[in-house]
Amino acid sequence: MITETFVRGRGPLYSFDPRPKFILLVYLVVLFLSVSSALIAGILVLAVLLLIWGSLGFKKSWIPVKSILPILILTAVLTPPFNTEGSVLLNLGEHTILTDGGVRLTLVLILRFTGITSVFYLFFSTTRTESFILALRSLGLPYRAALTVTISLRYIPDMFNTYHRITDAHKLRTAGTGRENGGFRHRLGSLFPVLISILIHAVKTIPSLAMALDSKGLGRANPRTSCRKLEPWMAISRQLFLTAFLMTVLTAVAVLLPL
Amino acid sequence: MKKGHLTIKELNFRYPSWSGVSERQIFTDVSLELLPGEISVIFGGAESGKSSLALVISALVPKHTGGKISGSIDLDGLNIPGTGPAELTENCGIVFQDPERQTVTTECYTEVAFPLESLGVPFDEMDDRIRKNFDILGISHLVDKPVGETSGGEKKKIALAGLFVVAPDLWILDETMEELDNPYRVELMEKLKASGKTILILTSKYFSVFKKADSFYLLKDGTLSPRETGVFSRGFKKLLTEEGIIPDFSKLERSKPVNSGFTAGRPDSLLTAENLLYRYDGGFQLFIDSFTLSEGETLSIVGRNGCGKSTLAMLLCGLIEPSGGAIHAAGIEGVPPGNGALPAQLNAHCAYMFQNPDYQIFLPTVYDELAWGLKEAGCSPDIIKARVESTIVEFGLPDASTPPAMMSFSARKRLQAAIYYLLKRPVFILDEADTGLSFSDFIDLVERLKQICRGLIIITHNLELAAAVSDRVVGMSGGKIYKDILDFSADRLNEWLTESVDKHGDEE
Repeated sequence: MITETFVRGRGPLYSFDPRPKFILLVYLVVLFLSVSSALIAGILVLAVLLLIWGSLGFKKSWIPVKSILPILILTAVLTPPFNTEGSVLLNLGEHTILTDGGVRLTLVLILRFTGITSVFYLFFSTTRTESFILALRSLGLPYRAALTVTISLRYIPDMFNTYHRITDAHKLRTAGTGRENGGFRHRLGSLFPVLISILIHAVKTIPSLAMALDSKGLGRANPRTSCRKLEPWMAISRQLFLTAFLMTVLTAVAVLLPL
Repeated sequence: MKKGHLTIKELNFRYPSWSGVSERQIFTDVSLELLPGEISVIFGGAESGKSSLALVISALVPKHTGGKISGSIDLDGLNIPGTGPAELTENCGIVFQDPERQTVTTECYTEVAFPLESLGVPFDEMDDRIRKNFDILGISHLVDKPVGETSGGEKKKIALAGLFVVAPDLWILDETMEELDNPYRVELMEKLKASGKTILILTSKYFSVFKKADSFYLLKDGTLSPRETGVFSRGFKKLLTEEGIIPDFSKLERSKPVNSGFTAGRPDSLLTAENLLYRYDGGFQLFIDSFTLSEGETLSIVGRNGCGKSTLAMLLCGLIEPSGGAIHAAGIEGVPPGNGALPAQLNAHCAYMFQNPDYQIFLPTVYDELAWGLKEAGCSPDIIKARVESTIVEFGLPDASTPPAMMSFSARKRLQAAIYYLLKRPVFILDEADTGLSFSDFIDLVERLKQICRGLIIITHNLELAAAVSDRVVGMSGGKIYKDILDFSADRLNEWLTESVDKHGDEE
């Protein structure tokens, strides 16, 4: 199963050069990590979700949130009891469970995770893998390092699909035994063979991928060419200017409005 | 001087031992000479060492697997075992048995471009070469397609395009005819002949496709038979028949499946579908206005690569839900007539053997794999042990403690079949299950399944098999079932497939 993160489509984000787009991605990740205001983080997340909606459709805008939902739930449950700064909102016996500081931090963390996941999702859904390699090379990363990054990224959805395939196989084998809808313990128990299988699948991929790359001439002494080209830097000057403008405005908002 | 002169002398190879797998000799004193421009075919049954030989000749083994090698492999004066595989790109190219394992990018175009990029072919020249070879192979419609949206056969064609575009001096094709439809196999042989390159084909079947090749060998028990040239001799044909490479249908009984004891007084239609619709994001749409599998029937579905056969199979066994229409399983208890069966109900009644066995094998040993379903079904340890042991013998599987990951492709296929055999489902769907199995192994599997199931659906590109084992054959093209093929001799099926392309175009 060969899968990719790219979603075919049209729109300004698709035609945006991968280099400024990548710079913007890195900048937004840093911004999400440094913003401590729930309001600003919330506005940024909303903006990114709206961009996903506009570029990929309404249904897709919930995919990044859905993919990290367990992490968000754990954050929401575990953060407040361990961060008890500020005025107390809820006590359970002698223990403080909820404070306004804890609520604020939880909100910021949830928005931060959602924001970072969403910008990555948006970037890889609107950027072809090969364009990303070219962007990384153009920004000074050696080809092998760029290829390693993109192959690793390719294998994330690949393993996700493998997981689905294997759970499908499980479903077909357990169907009719009355245990397919077993309790939590049973489901947890049946998760182990699936995880082992994914691990075996991933380990088996290593030599076959190495063979495939070798058979396609990766690592030859001669210089490597590319079947795709990026525009010269001058040709994307407007996009670069727009990127710089956006980064300036967002930095100004984050610095000047520390709510 | 024309290039592509391959000389192999006294080649020996053995893989290293692994936990659960002892060191084993793969071939002994293999000697072979291929003259420039010659097409040579090495036949061999399951686990005869064909893939290992292909990988050794292309210098990928033992580099990536370890193992002991002795003897010499010389290509136009180049010592292959002493050269890095990447440096051989212009000299020797290979198409793997499993094309998914050879794919490194996510787009068909960039996948074919990858070796050209490695060779440093200039940007301006590359596009022409890629498009020209997509065109030569009749797959221009795949140029802009993501690899993930292609069928197994289309992936093989993409791997072939990667070879055609580089045009090395020696081409090695490992079971490349598998998963390709029959008219395409014939076309491909013409294209290979026209290339003028030295070509080594390793195969376990499709004897008749290779009649125009120049030399033939049989790899058996690690040794290579003497060279046969031109038309096959009677003795060689006998040898191939004994090995299960030439099908021998004379012993085949068109026996009806027997009742596995699910319901009594059931209607004749076991599985039916009406106005079944499934849409992919990429635009491909499957629409089946009417489909029936009757009680006791063995039905084959044939069609060219990418026509929607596997999608139909996944719908019928409830792995994907239709966008429209319904599937009725008349024999399933608890499903009121008129209602469509739920996916979970279909899961429990249709065993589906995936094209790729690795998605259905996920436990550490052969024993664990076979015992898993029985444990889930609540069988006692003694019954599990007895049934697993007898199944290992019946399906010719390696020792119970062998890790499936270390087994050959055909052994993993047999294990996959054995797993579902033990589950005893009323309906079995075999999706290109013949891939990687010899004719005799596949026929044996079909015969075994007929003994325990109430209906069998076989999806195959092997028209001889379809003709021999089926009670009925339907043809698919462009996401639709076009008709029941009443006269389904292998020749007639081949004609139908060729006509289906003329009428409906190649699959998009």
